[in-house]
Amino acid sequence: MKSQHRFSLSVMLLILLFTLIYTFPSTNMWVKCFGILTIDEQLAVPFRSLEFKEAPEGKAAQVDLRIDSASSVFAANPNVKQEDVLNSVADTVRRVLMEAGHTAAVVNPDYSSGKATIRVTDKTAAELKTIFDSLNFYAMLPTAAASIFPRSKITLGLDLKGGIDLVYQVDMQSLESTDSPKDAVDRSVEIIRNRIDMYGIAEPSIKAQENNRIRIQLPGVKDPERVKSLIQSTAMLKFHLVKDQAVTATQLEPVDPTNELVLIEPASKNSTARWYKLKRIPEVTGRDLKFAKVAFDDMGVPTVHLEFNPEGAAKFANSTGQHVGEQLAIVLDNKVHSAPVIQSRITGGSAQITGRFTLEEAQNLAIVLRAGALPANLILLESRVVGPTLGAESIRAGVRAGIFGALLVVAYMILFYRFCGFLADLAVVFNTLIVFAFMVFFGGTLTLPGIAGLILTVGMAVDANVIIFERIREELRSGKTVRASIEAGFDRALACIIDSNVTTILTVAILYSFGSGPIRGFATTLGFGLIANIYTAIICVKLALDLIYSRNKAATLSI
Amino acid sequence: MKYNFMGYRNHFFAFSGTLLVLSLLLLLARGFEYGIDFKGGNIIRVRFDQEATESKIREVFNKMPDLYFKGDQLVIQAVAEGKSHEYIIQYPAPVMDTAETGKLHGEILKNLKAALPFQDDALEAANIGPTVGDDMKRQGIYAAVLSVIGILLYLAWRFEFQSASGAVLSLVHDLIIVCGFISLFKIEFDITVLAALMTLLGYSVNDSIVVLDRIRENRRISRETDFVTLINDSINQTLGRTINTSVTTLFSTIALLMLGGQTLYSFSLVLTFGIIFGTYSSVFIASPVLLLLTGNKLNRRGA
Repeated sequence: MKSQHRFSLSVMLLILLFTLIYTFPSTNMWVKCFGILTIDEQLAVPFRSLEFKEAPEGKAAQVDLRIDSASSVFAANPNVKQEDVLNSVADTVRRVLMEAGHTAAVVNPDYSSGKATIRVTDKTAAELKTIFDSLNFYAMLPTAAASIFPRSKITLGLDLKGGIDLVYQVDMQSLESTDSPKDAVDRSVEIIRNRIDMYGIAEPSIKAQENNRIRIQLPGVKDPERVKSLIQSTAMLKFHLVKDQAVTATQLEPVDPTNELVLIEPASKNSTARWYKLKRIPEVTGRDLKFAKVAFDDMGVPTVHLEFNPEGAAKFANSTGQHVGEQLAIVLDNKVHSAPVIQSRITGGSAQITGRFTLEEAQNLAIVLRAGALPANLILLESRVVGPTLGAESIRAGVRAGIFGALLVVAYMILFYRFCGFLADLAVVFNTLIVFAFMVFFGGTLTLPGIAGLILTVGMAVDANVIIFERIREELRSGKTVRASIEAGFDRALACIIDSNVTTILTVAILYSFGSGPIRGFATTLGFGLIANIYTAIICVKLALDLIYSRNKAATLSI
Repeated sequence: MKYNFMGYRNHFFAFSGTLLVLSLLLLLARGFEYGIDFKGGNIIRVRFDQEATESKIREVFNKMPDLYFKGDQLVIQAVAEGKSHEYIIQYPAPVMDTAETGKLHGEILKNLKAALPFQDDALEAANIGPTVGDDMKRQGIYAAVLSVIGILLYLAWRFEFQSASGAVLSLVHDLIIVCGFISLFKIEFDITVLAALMTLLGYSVNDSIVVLDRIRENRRISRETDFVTLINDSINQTLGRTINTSVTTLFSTIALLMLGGQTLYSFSLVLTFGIIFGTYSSVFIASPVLLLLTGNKLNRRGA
């Protein structure tokens, strides 16, 4: 073996090793070897700390998960919170058990003491343990062996794993005149992030874009409409004194626009819509809030309990003291929610918003009030919701088509180019592996158009070898020896392959920089694929042919 | 065996010319049926828990007050493999984006769910306002124009201007005819179709390059003195590759077409048609244009 070949071969093996290491964690094999839970999670909640027992009621089995607070995971990274880890482990276990057809629920989670219980009905403790063992939550191989692999798996786009993708426009015209428009978008992003964090969604992505737009991507959301309303509500809470009220707005004329304001109280189950004439300047606003939470009144109806900061409490006490007997309207997002009569001076800085709430609405309202009001209205420009079921079906269809197409190509190549065709097929497989490894390494997202790009890569990758092989055949026909034909074939095809790949890479680059979302996914895999293609089709196939046909001085080439 | 491609070049010019004119007329007269990515609009794909009917779905919308669109603008299709459980419901985008329309989409889903229950994980919904659609259109046109210019410059550098023009003209030829095809068969022009067109851009050039590359090489080394014969020889020499590559790529796209599901259907359809035309034009358009621009003189310096 020539030293030049030895070098190329080592490089190729290194690249192969790299691709295998980077793609392995994304495969099903990984789950078999190293478990469904992440290695960190397994260290934080080790298998030996699990307790299987009968549930206290005697009808169900349960497993107690317990955080090992001495685990190296927490020592190594102080940012990792025990309760987050426990939460995510409990959720994964519950989800996997449900997917396997068992009725599982997380009961009595006690995050402060690092314990959570998952209960499975109609099973005994022993059965639950067997189920647990069969589901590969924990690694079969020593977890230390996992450390040579990257922690990241391939990221699936929302179109494949399900979720919602929203683009909002911050409506600058709705900005209060006292507000600076400069940081309105950034503040909105911050407030939306707070709201989503409080609601609890894993891996949210909330980003400001040009033209005062905000893009929000939330994977695996179960109740898209609720999340949308959580994000959208401006949550501008104000308390205004009522000057007059009537059934229609015209009855409230004349209105003095500098001091007065007319707003509607929308119709509800028990009452028709009413209009209110209000004092324009609010007594207290949501900015003076310290805290908001859901509470229940004597009848068990959900209400929202507000607590003001000292300044707000003083304003509230002052104003209620001066206007006993008058009505105070609670205005939320420019609609009157209710207008109770002030019975007495309210001290202590707390208030209740009652009535008209379902529990869900009350929870949402408490979250948005606590996270703060948005500085401006949000206009929904784009929203895409993909349920995980349909996403999974798309993956299956795309993958099935991909495998079928690839098999046809593989067969065709072998039929037409014999052994060389087989080598080209290996090169295509290698190419695909490299694309996946790149996707993991650069944190790219695999989307459905991405799968299409990958399938196309296979087509284009084969093309490069077709060009070379046709060339070699020609050279053979002209009477050259096998070695000389291989050399000449590659040599002459080189310019053509580079030119054609570079032009396509050029289009892909433009596609990537101009396109958004789906187009980008397509450009990413195709771009990676073409770059890998230049390497696998030219260098790897050449190397293989060189190694095979230089040694045994073959007189014939299987092409 | 040698085929005389160049001898019939005027026939092919006439054929392509006719197709081009027809495509352009079609595009001018009818244009595209833009999907919601480009014109804005709303689409709901949902699998109901029980069997549903079109009239039941329509009733939900009819009962809602204050809709900005009329009942006949509502399009309801049953998904073929959905066994009357699965439907695609489309309604138009409002004239402009407002905060209210966002809430309306939520209301629609809520009413739909109340009348015909479904699970949230079997729901796919997209609401695209008119603003986004215009942006996308602009982005698409920019991307296409920039790509063409980029390719022209790169090829002019690697070959010479005449070859580059040949490749780019055949590329534009392909794009126009494929657009005509899209218009003729009323394929909904959505984001995946744009992606398919962009891919064809690369593919078509790729195909032309292989032939042009061979001409470039033959100009340098061949003893042939007649440029027409030289071009014809080059096309014949690359014919095996042209066919094999088209066939293998078509395998991929036809597999996508048949098995890729609804989402990838128009993508693969456009791609399949485009690859056939890309192959045709690399043989019958790119090289004759090169000849037309160079004249029948064999200029070896240009190579």
